[in-house]
Amino acid sequence: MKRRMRIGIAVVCAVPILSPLLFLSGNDYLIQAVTRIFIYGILVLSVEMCWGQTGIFTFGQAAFFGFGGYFAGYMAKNENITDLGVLLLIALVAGVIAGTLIALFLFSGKRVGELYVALVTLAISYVCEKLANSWTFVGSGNGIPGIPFPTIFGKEISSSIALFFIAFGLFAVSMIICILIIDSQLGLAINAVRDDEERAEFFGYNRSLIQIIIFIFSAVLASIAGALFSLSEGFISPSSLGLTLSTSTVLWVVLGGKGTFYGPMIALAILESVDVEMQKALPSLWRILVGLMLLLTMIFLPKGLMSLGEKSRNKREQKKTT
Amino acid sequence: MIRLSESNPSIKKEKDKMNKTIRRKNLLKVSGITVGVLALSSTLLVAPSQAAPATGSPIKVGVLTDMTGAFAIVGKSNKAVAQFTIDEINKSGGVLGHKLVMDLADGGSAPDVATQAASRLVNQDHVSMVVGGVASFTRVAVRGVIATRGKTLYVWPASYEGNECTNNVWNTGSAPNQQVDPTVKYLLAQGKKTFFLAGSDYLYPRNILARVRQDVLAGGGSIVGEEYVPLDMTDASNLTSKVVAANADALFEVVVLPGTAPFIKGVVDAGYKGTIAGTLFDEGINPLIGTEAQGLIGVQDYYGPIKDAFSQSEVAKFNAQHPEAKGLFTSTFNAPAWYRSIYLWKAAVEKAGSFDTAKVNKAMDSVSLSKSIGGPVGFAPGTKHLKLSMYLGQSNGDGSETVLKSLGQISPYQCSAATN
Repeated sequence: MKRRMRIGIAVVCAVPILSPLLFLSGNDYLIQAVTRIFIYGILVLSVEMCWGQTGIFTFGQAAFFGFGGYFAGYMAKNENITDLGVLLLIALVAGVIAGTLIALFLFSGKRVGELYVALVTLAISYVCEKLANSWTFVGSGNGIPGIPFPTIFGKEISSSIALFFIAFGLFAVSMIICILIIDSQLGLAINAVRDDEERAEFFGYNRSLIQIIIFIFSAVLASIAGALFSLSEGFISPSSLGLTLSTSTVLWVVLGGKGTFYGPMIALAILESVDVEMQKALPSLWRILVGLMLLLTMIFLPKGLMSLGEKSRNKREQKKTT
Repeated sequence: MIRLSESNPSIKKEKDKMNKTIRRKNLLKVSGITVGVLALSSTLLVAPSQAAPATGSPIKVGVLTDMTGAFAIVGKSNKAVAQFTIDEINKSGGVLGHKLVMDLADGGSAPDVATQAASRLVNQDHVSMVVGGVASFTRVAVRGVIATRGKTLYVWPASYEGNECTNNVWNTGSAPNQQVDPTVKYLLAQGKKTFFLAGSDYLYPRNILARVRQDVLAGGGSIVGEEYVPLDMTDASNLTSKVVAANADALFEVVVLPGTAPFIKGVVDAGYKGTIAGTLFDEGINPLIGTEAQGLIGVQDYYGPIKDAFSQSEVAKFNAQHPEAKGLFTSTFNAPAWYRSIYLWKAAVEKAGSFDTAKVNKAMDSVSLSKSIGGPVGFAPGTKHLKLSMYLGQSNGDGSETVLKSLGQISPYQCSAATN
């Protein structure tokens, strides 16, 4: 078994063992905050798969997140479909459709540059936010408030602990699937496409098909995360489709180190858990500090926080050899 | 397919050896980080109980406003007013022998940020009540978290579009019939026959303008145009030319910040001769518009020059104690509503003799204040809204207001079948 998989399994086992500590506090806000980390974790996974592993610089992943969120939220609120399984399936189909359309447009023809992909996806996210903001059918600027809790076999899931485990379960499944993909033969091929598209094509890999598959896969992940978000928060608004969230996900990936798989998720977990207390302590300064921190990381640690470990490891190994 | 990593057996052996030590170290590191993060979270777990407060222990008042984003200027005013009111109550002995403390949460001018902030106030800090919200999209997003799921009293202190009747929610700003009806009545009495309606595209402007349309048609006037623009519009030239071309007797506008100033300036500078009226003009907004604010018509629950000794002395005190928010005590920044919200809640707690949400919620229905900034106020029982003293005002080019007429106390029409 490869290292990545072992760490993955360790995390999957550790969370249920450690989580009672969290529940004992009886602090619903904290449980919700951790739940949100798992939901955003799925979103970050989708960006890491696209950008970190395949080299598709998707700068508009929030568009799929919001798309799934809006679909599930609208169905739950206005069509009285509250079954979690059905809603997740709806989000999955929505993700496949949206992902396929955009993937075909981007990757079916000649090779396109990384920046081109970034700009197109960014524009899509921007357009979706504008559209949701001015379309009365989905609530315009108000979004969809008052989304009911999901149900499983007709039973309403309203406790924050149940929602925590649903989010964690989906996160764990997504993560394991991602690891299986990366560790498979397909994983080698997608990394080859990331490292040199031209050479991968020259070796006979179907570059376009690989990019399309991964893009659709990551759109589905993001869409499911969005559906989960709207159901557990009871609310979705245009900002969940837009630039702020899109940029945040890219920044988590940059901060943690793209291509390191676990780095982005660690960055997300640290930033989000500190966020809880810092927003209270420094309500107006905190966001400026986050921006500053990211700027400094980009300048001094362009490969992200995970490269810190690598650097110290290299140093130690250098010492050993000398 | 070539397996890249296993192409050379001797290299592979060496690599495996190396990898093993690295793997172990990495595993340690990752688990270390995980444990660290969890430990960090668990130190934050000290959850206060929601049992009846001990005598003399401080009571937390949840203050939810936008300290960042498009409405940050409103948040600056709200925070200062809340602090001013809480200090004043504490100086006169607190509530039922308890001092109040402000628990501030930033709504970030975005509903998703606001729901998280509201959840912190209710689920982590267990505040006694929440007052706040700036835009209506914040109210509809947080009311579930606070009042429905959180079973905590929520006071919504803003002039708004009406129809907020959720249990545990209380409205302390003016409803459309208190603000829109008298404005349209005045315009019709001035001989205005044709109206143009313009607003930002979200809940509040759409509902306010629906009320304007209804009032105009009922009064024998006619609507010659109705236009909505995106929330973040700053280039108003397209809308401006439509308004000027329609050349109506009156323009009723609910274009919110940041679009207000460029729109009004554009219309006035393009030579529009009719009267401009709206729900958002007073000493807070006028300075942003500049000299083109001259002659804007509106109705508010408070203006600087109203003849009320209590209001004058309180606002003077506010400006002295909070120099950082000097001049921001205005009706469009909801300052009078914030002030009375906390006092009305205090009155209800004292009437109920308890901080218990259900008891306070019941007591709120009929509390009133004989003195408040802007004039006496009180809940009209069964409506969840206030009887309010309203004033008809006209803006001046220097940013100030002239009170044309005091309209006296106007009853709300809202939530006649409120569930308590």
